[in-house]
Amino acid sequence: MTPQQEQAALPIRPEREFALQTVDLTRYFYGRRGLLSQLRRRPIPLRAVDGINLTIRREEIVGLVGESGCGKTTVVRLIAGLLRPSGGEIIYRSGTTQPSTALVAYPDSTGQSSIDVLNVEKLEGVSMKFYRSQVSVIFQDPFSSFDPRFTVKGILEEPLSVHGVAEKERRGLIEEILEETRLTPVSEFLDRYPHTLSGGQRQRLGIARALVLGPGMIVADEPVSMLDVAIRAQILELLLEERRKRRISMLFATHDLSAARQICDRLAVMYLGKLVEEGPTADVIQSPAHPYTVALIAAVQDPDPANRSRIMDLPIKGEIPSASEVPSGCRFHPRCPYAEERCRQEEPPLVKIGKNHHSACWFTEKVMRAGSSLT
Amino acid sequence: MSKILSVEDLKVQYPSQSSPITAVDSVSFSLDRGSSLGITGESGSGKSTLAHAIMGIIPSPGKVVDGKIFVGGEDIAAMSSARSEKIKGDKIALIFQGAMNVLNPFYTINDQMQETVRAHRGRIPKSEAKMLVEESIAKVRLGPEVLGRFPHELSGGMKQRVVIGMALMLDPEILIADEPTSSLDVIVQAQITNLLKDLQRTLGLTLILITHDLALVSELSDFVAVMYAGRFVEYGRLTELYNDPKHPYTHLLLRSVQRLSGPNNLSYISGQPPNLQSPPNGCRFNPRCPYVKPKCIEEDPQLRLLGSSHQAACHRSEENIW
Repeated sequence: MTPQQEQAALPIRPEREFALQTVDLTRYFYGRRGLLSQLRRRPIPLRAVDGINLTIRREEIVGLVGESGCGKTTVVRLIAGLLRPSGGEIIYRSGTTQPSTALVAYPDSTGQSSIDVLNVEKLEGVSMKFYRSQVSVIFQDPFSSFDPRFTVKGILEEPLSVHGVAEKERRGLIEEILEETRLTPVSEFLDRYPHTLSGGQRQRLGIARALVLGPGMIVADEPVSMLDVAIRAQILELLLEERRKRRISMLFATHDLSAARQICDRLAVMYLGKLVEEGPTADVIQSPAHPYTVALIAAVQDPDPANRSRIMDLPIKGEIPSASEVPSGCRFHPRCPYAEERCRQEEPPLVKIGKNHHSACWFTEKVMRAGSSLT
Repeated sequence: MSKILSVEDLKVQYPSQSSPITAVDSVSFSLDRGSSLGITGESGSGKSTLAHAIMGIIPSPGKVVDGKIFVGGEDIAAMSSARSEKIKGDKIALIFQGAMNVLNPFYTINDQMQETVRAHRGRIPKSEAKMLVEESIAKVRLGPEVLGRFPHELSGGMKQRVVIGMALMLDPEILIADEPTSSLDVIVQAQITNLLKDLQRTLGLTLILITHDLALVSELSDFVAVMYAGRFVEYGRLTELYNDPKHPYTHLLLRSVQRLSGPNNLSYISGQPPNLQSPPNGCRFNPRCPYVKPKCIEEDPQLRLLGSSHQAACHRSEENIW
């Protein structure tokens, strides 16, 4: 690809620079081939991520929402560099506003211009390592994402040693990050093992581990879904605070719209490997434009007894099908109350329907006129 | 209305090297036939242990050390296990937390449901067992074709329906559901909630819901009990509790819920529940309570009646400070 072509492929919005962009990002999985699929000429892939264009701007928190099986976690793993895409590109722009801890270890990458755009797909060896120091992950389950034989200090030291931070500097960085994530008094936490921490403390340790190298971007996969309601907001607040302090960008994958709403600037709604709606958080929740978003909103239960039974009329049928049997046309049509013949035949593209608001539905206007169940 | 279930001063303890751990501490409540009670609180508050105590399935070395459990007027805690088994088997069913994940992968749904019938009804005619199974699968809105399938061939929502169907097969009067919607997706959660609501109404079930999810409590319960460190700290009608909580823990817990409407909200309860091996002096919530005063550290507040049914265990319930 020539530089001109590469530029043309990226619809960069001039108003705010992007930190990370995916272009037609695709990931198929081919299962172990049984006798039957060996007899078939081509195996049927599981289309976990099926062409996603997602932009995360600098210092922005984007919520990736959808049910399990929609491909959120695969997107997270692709962006985190834990999986290779089958197709498409992930473009990451470094140029953090603060000097990154890990940059010291990568002499080739200290100049911002030389690593301004990283095409993750083509990264190997040292440059992949650099990318991983820049884009870090917070996992869903704070109970199983730590090695039980490592102390807090060991857990935080590992990424530093892997990325070549000098031993004498590590202690200071570890204490600093513990302080920042309020695992204090620091001296009490350093030698503890993860099983002695509460759920909230463990997830703060997960955040500390993700931040210790000074990344420019965090991808968080359901970071609060395993935590008690009473302490969830503590983690959300900490993420917001870190964004403000470190000016980082974030992708927040969740099935919980109510949690996403509290911290996300924009929401991208995913269904069976595709984005079906994308826009500013308030717009998506107050005037959803895709019937799937409408259903997701209608299904959210509320603690106020006055809203009891709001979930009685769910505008959706059945459950999400397997990504190895993606329906024809619009992939949502078998569950959609608006579905007509056209939906069975043609796949609707993601089109602009308002300022920064996009939806992939043939009947967007009708859906928006009907309004959401919240109003 | 007759009380179908009454629990009086129930106490469950686990021995430990120092002093025993009281996981459920002097809990009392009673339920009218056809009503529903939501028991809520953070993990470790004792809500599941309470359900297990009612069913008589506290794993050893834990045991019920005190209290009475009346089912239809008979104290099942005091009688022989064979007799209490019979009463519980006939009248109470429990849906365990995560039950859908422990369906046996080697047997079809039909085999597993038949097993439940045989375990409780002995040698009833095959045709009758078949009918029971088919009826209950229809009750949970599944087609008969599900019966021939294996668990891995069903979605999460379908498995949860199967588990609910199994619980209803022997026609219980009381259904205890422990986190029936956790680990399901939002849309499936709503579908299962609707199903439970519908079943409770049409079958006249008495429902005990154990959950940390306050929205689910609100959907399904007439009465709510809030547990903290093994005790009920507040009890009352759903609307009373929601609109006018008399315990700061209830108030703060309700405020911690992230909601889809209303202003953005990032409130939470700082700290964590106490270690039951050495609970704090006075009120067990005092280390986390923003309204704490000297009395709260000196004196353990008892559950007091504050309205027709509304009870709370706080020294400052009447002060209207939250």
